Amino acid sequence: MTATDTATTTPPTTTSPTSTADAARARTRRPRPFLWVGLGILGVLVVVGVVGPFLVADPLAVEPSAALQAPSAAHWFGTDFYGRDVLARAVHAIRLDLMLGVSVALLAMVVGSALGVVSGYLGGRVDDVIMRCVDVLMSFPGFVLAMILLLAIGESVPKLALALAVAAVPPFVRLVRAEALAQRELEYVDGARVSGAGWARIAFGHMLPNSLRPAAVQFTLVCGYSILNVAGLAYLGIGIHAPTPEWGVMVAEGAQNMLTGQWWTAFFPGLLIAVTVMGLHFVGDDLGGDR
Amino acid sequence: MSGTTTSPTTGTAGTTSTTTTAHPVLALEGLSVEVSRTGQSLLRDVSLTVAPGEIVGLVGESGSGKSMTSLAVMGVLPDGIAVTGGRVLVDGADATGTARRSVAHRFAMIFQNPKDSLNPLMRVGDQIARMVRLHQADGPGADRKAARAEAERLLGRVHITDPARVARAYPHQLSGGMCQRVMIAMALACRPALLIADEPTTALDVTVQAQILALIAELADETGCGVLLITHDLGVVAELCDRVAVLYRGDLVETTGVVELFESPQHEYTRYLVTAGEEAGHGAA
Amino acid sequence: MTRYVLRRLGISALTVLGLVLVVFLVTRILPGDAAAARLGPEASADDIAALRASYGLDDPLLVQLKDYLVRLAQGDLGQAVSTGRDVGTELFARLPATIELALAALLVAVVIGVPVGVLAAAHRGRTADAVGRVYAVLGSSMAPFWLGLLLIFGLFSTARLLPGPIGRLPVGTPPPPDVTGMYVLDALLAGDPATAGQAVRYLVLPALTLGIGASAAVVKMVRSALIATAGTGYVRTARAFGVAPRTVLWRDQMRNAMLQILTSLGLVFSFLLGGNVIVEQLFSWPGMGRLAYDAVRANDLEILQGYAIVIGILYIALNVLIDLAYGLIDPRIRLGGARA
Repeated sequence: MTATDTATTTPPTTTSPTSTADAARARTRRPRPFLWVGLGILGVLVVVGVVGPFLVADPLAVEPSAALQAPSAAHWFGTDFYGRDVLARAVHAIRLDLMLGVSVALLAMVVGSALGVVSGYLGGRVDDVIMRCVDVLMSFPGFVLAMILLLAIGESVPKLALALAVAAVPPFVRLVRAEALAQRELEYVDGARVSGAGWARIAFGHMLPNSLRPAAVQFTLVCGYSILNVAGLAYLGIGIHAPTPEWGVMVAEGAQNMLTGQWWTAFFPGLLIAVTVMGLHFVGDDLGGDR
Repeated sequence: MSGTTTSPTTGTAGTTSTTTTAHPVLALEGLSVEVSRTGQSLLRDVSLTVAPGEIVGLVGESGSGKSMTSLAVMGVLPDGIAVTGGRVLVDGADATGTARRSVAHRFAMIFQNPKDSLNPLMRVGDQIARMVRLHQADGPGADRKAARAEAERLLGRVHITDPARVARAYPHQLSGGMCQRVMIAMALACRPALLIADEPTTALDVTVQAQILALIAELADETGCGVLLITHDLGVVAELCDRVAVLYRGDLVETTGVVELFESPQHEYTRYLVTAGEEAGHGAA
Repeated sequence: MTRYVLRRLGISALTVLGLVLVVFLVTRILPGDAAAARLGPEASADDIAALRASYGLDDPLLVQLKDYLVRLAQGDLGQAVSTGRDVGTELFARLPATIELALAALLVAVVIGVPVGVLAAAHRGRTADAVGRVYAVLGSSMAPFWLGLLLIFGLFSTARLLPGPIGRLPVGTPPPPDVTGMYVLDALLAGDPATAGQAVRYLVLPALTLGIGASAAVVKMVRSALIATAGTGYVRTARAFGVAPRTVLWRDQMRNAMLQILTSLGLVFSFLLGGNVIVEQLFSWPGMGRLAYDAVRANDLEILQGYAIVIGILYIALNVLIDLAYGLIDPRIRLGGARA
């Protein structure tokens, strides 16, 4: 009957839940270094990934006389065991690694979100079945699952993306399902139901758009982890193989050199992995809010 | 309906409080509070006194600054919000800048949602004993066992029939009314000179409300501690308070005796509150 | 409480069954012929047919599934195609090495992650918080094989402070008498501090490699768990009653956040158990992950499916244990809603 006083009991800037309007206002006012640093990194990477391959040397050109040269003006990142230019290889790898990361995350998001909406909206037995499947998938580390899948279905770049995407689906299902459950309670769904809209239209037309924001956060995270996993699998010799210029492959090739002192062959590709994933995670950290 | 905000009418307050000769437990002199970053004003020039044993009501709508006043008094304003003017006097001494005022001056506070206000993982007896140890270090608080015994005694003091058993309970095992009694026992453990009760009965059943209010009145009487009762409910004010201060959008618009409040409200906003309260009262009855 | 335990166990049993089913399906019927995959590209059609028959791959699927489940129920994880050894025996022989590494890594993750997370939450929005958040992003962005190589390069190749990536003990040092299979512990039990010291030295680099990545996750979740408690009524009460901020942080916030932190630590530990193929490969650490790597090299799906099942069951069991521990810690679950 009477409005309770919680809003003033806990003033706006404390850590207690405030109204979303307040939060939004605070967010727009505050500087967002994480977001801009992350977007900056990603922007530079995309530009270099698109333009770079035309500017650098041939990533596959073997030159035994120039093997294992330290970084210099001629070879900024040095050369590897076969005399190939590390910079050229690292730059050529940007496109492959970024594309793989994005497609894994995209695939997982589309499939996971659809399952999540269906699960959250239909509830009942469908929900039970989907959630049990999600439990099962979550009981493997994604890396191990992808490893087995690839070995079972054979290796190729699309299959690599597919295998990693399967492992990345569960968090999207959970997240979107929770969102869908919450929104199922909201009035506008009832309104839509009264007007005779089919459940699919309600689910995909009303709920999915509202679940997008948390899914976007998860997207950047999955994108980053997928790049790590692609590189990790490649490092173990699964999925992508030498001599393809790919960061994980390059680190694996340079691992021995690291022990003998030629640090640059493995250092630079690994650094690019870290920088790329960092860019994605900075953006995700900002979008995810303070938590 | 909403009158233009006028300067605070502190002058009218004197009539009923002149009976107290000693220093008031608490005096606010022209207190102003702002959000540091934006300069947004939350309280402007608020002056208020609470004498020992006196129950002062602080009324106003949501967002009028009632709770901000209480936090400023306790000295626990959240980060980014600061006192920008005026003084807080405790027993006549300036305590505006004193950190952890609540320990130094034995202030205690109880809240609207008693269940949420207790630590869910600690037995309530332990929570009270903790305050005994903190605030009565020279007495029973010096020793763990004595503090526990004191906690049980305090539970008896707030009319809990089986203190030993309740002391061992966790908050989730107690009703809202019981939890509020526990909170009051915790407050008593501080031997408070001032008790701030922030909407102490809003979340409770009507019958329990009356019991809790009676308990607060009884303890104020027995211990001589002043009570600052924050509420939006004029019924509660009428039942319990000696004097009332009315806050409206960060300004103290009127401070008056309870009887005067209902008989001759001065400020337009107060008149609105009183009529609205009467209508609500009739509706409920 | 009993009902809670039973329910939890029931769901876990179902998940284990699902896990076995998934592994079975992936390894038996997915398009790439498992038998062909096992024998590699040079195998003749006759070889493949013979192998298919010997593994019962030509039987109807349900019969295969039944056989598979019966074998599993007897604890039989099959025979490795590449080595002919019993997969279960191989995996369990290597379990202690993996657990030892995972525990050491967990220690690293907690020792770094908890203080950084607590500091970040306590100074929310200020410099310490920013440092903590940046650390969390950095830690989770480094590929473990790269971080491991950097550590090897810095602390072994260059500084010669720690031994190189050649396993658990120096060549020629006999392992301590087998009790738990964890060398550090076994050496101490045998009263052999010299060997224990060696084992610790060999453990440091892989544990750091694995632990630093995990510490980033620990920072994140400790910080968010603490921040979630900061706005609660009991924290407000404690502050208002004059409890010192540091005490509020540790006694009130930490204690309540502990429930969530414990759950997350269990998750982190299970990932340390299962996510270490790369680190075990890099450091020649003879654990289950290293076996899985060898299986990949040898195209041995039989070992890999055993590995997946063991890892999955460990993960599920760990989560049950944590949920039960949760029930013991949280009186709201332990005592239910019964009024005192």
